[in-house]
Amino acid sequence: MTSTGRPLVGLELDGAGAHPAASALSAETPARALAPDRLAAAARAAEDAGFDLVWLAAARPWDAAALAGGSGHGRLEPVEAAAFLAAVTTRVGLVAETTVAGAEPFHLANRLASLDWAAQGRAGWAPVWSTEQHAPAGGSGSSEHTEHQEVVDAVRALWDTWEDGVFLADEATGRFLDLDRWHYADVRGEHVSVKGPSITPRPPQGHLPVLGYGPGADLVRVGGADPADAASRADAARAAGARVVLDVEVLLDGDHPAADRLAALDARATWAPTGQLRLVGSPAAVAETLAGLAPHVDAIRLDPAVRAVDAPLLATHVLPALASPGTRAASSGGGSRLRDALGLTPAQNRFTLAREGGATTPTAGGRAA
Amino acid sequence: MTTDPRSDPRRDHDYARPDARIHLNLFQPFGPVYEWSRTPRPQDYYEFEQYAQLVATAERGLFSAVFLGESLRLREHLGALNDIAITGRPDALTLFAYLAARTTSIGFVATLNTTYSEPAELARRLATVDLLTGGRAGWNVVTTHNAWTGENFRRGGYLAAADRYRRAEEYVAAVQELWDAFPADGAPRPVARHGAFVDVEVLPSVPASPQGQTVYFQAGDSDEGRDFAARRAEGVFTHHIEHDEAVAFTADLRRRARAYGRPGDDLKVFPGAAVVVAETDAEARDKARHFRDVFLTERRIRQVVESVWGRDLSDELDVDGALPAEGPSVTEQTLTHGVVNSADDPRRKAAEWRALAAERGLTVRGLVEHLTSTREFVGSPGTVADELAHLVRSDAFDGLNVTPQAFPDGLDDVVDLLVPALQERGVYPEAYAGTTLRENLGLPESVGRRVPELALLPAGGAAVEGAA
Repeated sequence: MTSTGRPLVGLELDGAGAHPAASALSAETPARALAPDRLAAAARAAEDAGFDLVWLAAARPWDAAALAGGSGHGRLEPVEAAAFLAAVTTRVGLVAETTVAGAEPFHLANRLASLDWAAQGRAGWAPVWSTEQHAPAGGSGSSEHTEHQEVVDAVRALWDTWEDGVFLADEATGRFLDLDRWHYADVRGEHVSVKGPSITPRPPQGHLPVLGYGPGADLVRVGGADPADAASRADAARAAGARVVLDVEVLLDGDHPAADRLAALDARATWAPTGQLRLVGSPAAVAETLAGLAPHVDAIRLDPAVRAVDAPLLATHVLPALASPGTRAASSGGGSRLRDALGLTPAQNRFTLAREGGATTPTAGGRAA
Repeated sequence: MTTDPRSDPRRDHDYARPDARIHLNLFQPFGPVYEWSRTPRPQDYYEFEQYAQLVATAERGLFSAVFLGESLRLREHLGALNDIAITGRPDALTLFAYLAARTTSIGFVATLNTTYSEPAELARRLATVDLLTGGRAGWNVVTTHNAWTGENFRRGGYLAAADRYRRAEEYVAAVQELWDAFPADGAPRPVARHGAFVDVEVLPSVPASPQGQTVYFQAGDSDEGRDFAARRAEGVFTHHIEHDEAVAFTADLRRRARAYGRPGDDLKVFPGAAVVVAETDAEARDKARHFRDVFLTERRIRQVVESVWGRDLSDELDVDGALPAEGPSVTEQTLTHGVVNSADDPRRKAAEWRALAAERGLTVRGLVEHLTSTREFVGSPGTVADELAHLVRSDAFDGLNVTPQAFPDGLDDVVDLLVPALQERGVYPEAYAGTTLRENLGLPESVGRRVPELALLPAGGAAVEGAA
């Protein structure tokens, strides 16, 4: 996970796949499909194949219909599933989606910081608005956008409440913590308010990289109706100063041609457009398309239509085309942090900046407001 | 050690449960007292790898579960964050999900508050950990009421006390219905509950684990709390350790449970206690004394007094002298600090302490030591094992929540010395009984399924007591 100048490539591990009929191809019970050994094996396979990230979705647009129709497998909570995977992987980045509508930043900050402790700095956060709707609705300034932004900001503020160097453990004075480096967050927004500090100390990365929507994200998620549309969306986001992660649904030639597989799946359940770029075809053609998009983006999230079929094909035929031989092997030194791999600068701490800048922050010194 | 069968203590007593076995749980308090100098990096107290080591020791010792309390706001002292103890911790369910991959048999009980979360989300998170552990999860249900904690949440502290408990009951019923609505081998069915406090309309997304439902724990000593436990709980956390008091408490709980149509022994009682063992009784006493000294720093002693006086006494209090002659002048107890809580009247509390100190001739140090002393099991492995065997055969309790005194090696002596002594006496298992927490605690399927009418909300609701 070191920055290679090429996009990092992630694999979505959610459920049976991106297509709503994917789980119908499996005869397994939901409990078996979601069994921990299965999850661990999928993540290890992705890591061994050279994927830089595994991604755990919080929702699919067709969830309710599939589950109610008895064809869905359900899903584990992404943060907890990612923490489990932290124990069975060593290099791969672990990106967990959470919903933010109505969410308590206090709980989110503690859970996500804990995930980063579990993963020793390999965790990423992908906030989505709700289970039904990924991006907040309305333009910037809409109520949803404001709430989304406030939740992300509040979580980051809580991550700053324990500064680096806060631990004293000085038996002579009986002080375990340094009150000058331990702070209230005192966030009061339109939608959220939180006093702080967080319960879990600052995550090893300082801030987990945020892969999401809106100006607060470290990487902005884009899709597209077709590759040209995706490229122009990515370029626009970059022009606005953002780094970009491209969401791609993929269905490949397997035992049967991709078009035939798609027709068979669609006969069971309609795969309505989701806004992600959707690529259907031969592994070589899909690899070429993605290689063409690579210079426009900083990361690619591959969402296999049927994970059991498409994920191995992606690993064998598509992933190698997105990296020159050796780069991924070279990037596999354990212990590197996801922020670094994504090319992000180290996270600043607002309280450290305020103190070192000589400014007085209203919440420094551990004094109650 | 008793090896002669003629002196088998089981024959000398008319025990209520001559063949009972004791369960041990690992309990880590929120502000644990460890010797900081034993750890090279203070951050080690938060490292998941260190937790994995501690829990591996517990699992080697066939502990039933790891039990963690919950804190939703860090403690303060005199208007500032309290820097005196190791504080802060990983989120329990995130930690447990990680430990799921590092363990095979031990259970995980998370204390999770119903006040500042939504039942559908909590149900999903717990069910996820239950599935990841193959059915080894438990839930200790608590509620909180103070506005001080509410400051960390947009939901805030918005309910009156009575409503809070009714909401908790509705909440628990919703969570359990969500769990039952997605069987492991079937499709989920939608759950719709429209109560006075909890409104849920959702399709569950996490199927049931091999134990069906997570094991339900709660704390509770009040009449209402006991009744609620008797109706619904499968595990109860208490502090009753002394023989007569513990036997009476447990008998009362079982009697109440039988009144609800339960067998009574399907309720497992776990008091918390420190266990200090060493090769000899004398060594163990020295060790217990040492831990006591580590705990009773001058700052900690002073803080106990300051929390009642409501002001900084660093310039005037001699911990080896008497309590301040004047004060306190504050009339409201704003701090909770171990032996002090916000329901107390500071002036009455101070008068009580002065009387106690005078009666027993105690300095401030002696007074605080007296006030903070907790029941411990201290002795050689044989001494402690005999004591515990007697208590569990008398049905004083089903198990103990054991607090380690160091991290991550604080259970080594219990596992290496005490567990074999308990096994020799036939009061401790030689292997895990099964693969789920429910099996390992000897519990049948969840109460709500066995006695369906108990899952219904009682008229008026009852209390769920908060626990740290």
